[in-house]
Amino acid sequence: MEGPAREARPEDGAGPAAGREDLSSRIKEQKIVVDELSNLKKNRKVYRQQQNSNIFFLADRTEMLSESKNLLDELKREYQEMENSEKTKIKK
Amino acid sequence: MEAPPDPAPLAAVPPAPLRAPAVARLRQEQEKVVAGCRERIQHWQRVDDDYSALQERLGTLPDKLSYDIMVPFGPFAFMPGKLVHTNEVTVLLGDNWFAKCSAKQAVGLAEHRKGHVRKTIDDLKKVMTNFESRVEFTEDLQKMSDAAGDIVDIREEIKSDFEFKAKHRIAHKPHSKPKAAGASEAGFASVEPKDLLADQELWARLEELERQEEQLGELESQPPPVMANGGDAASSEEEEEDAGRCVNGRVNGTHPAAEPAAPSCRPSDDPGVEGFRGPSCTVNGARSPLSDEDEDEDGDDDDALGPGASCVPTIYFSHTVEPKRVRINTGKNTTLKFSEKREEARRKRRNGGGCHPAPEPPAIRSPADVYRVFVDLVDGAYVPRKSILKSRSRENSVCSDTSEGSAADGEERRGLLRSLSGEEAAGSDAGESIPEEEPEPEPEAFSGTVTEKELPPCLAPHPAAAHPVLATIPERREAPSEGSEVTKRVSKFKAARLLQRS
Repeated sequence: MEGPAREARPEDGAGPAAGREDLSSRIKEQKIVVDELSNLKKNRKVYRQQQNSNIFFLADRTEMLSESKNLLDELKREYQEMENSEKTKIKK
Repeated sequence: MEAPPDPAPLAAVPPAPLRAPAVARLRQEQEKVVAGCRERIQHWQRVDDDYSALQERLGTLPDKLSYDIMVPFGPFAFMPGKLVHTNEVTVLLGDNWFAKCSAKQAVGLAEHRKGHVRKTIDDLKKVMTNFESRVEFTEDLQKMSDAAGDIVDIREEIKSDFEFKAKHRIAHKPHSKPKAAGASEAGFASVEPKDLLADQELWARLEELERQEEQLGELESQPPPVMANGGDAASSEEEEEDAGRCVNGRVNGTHPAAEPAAPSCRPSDDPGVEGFRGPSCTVNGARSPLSDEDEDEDGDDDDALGPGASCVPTIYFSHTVEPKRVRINTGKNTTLKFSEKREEARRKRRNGGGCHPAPEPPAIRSPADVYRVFVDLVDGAYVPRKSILKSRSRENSVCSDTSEGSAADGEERRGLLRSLSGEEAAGSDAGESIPEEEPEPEPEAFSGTVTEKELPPCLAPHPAAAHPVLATIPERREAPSEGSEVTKRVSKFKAARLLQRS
């Protein structure tokens, strides 16, 4: 019974460089989450941590997997957008 | 940073000239504030998100009777368990007080707390934007101080007597005392307005002032500025004409501030003069063209290239109020000083207004002095004479006469003419002797004069010989043949016409 901790982190309002780093680290974490979730055996229970506290609620594995994947895609998209905007800025 | 441990991040730019390290430090501090604000905003943002997640959880909590959870055992251990009584929530109210409420109520509580958090976030954002703009400004300031070429710092040093003046504007109450303000330059603080009600005392004071002015004028060879006599309510009306309302802006304002309370707006002459001179000299001595006017020191521009202290050239600007005096611009460096003439007039009046010369002959050293000495009495008011070198479009409709001989003559003649008023007789007599070069040119040479009405026949021969081109300035002179009698004036237009006719 593993309970991968999963936190939702707010986005930072930091500068572009810091934001970019932060985003990239978040993307890495999310990738790990997705990999772990997809690598679970069928009988495993997945728990989800309540924000800011130590309580873990039972959650559905498949649901969690899909959720994590979505989140990862979102983060990647954001990262791409940020890179594009920076490139356009540099060009200007 | 070499900065001293000043704590204030909100420290304003020091009044001294811009210094690069100070500006840099200011910028640093401001950026610190901005960074701090940003961190705090982040923290509160996280708190807000937590509350949102909690609300979400509380919303769905009563859906099930019990939940399978991992119960925390200490900081690192967990134990599988169940969450029961899903609708009963114990809320911490602070100070170890709890409230037992339903899930919905808890949601409401969480919403209320979120409101507070959002308010805090907004305030922090405002502060951050404020300081960000300050940072920008400080950056500009830095650039300014670096690029000391085109940019000049203009400072106006505000004298205490300005405020003093403002506070002391009392209405015309005969017994109202002006408020005594510390060591004021006005110096009237100690004098009761009652005393000044009496005309004679007023005159006495004015005379004293003017005497001092004269002395200073002689010393400096510049008409010294007149100090403000603040807050004399009773005397305001009369003084207004002379010295009451003139405010002097000193260049660099380093004049000894603590002038004695003696009823003089000037400190002792010599030190005062020196003191006055000192600062002006330090400022590149560039006072002469502008500041020769006595009161017109509007915007003294002194490029004080900061003596090593700052890399920014500084202009010290002083604001002055033009006194209500009759003043004409008679040339580059002349301004007619009303007060002196008035003093003269008064003096003469006191002396009996006879035709005897004034006790002290006016020291005339420059053309400006001439104008100072000779005053006209027009409608009971003292009017300085206009230079004959200037075209008096109002008086005479013709162009100026620039010949020296006639100029000298003109003054002399005018002096004669104006001997109407007994007061000026003495002055004019005294003054007459001085510019007495040639009493009259040859009768046939151009005199450029117009004579009074009764002398049209006399006029005819004169201009006939004169150059028609130059026969333009009809000056009010008496014909030489007449002597010093006063004749009726002829209107300038008529005179011109007569001239031209002949």
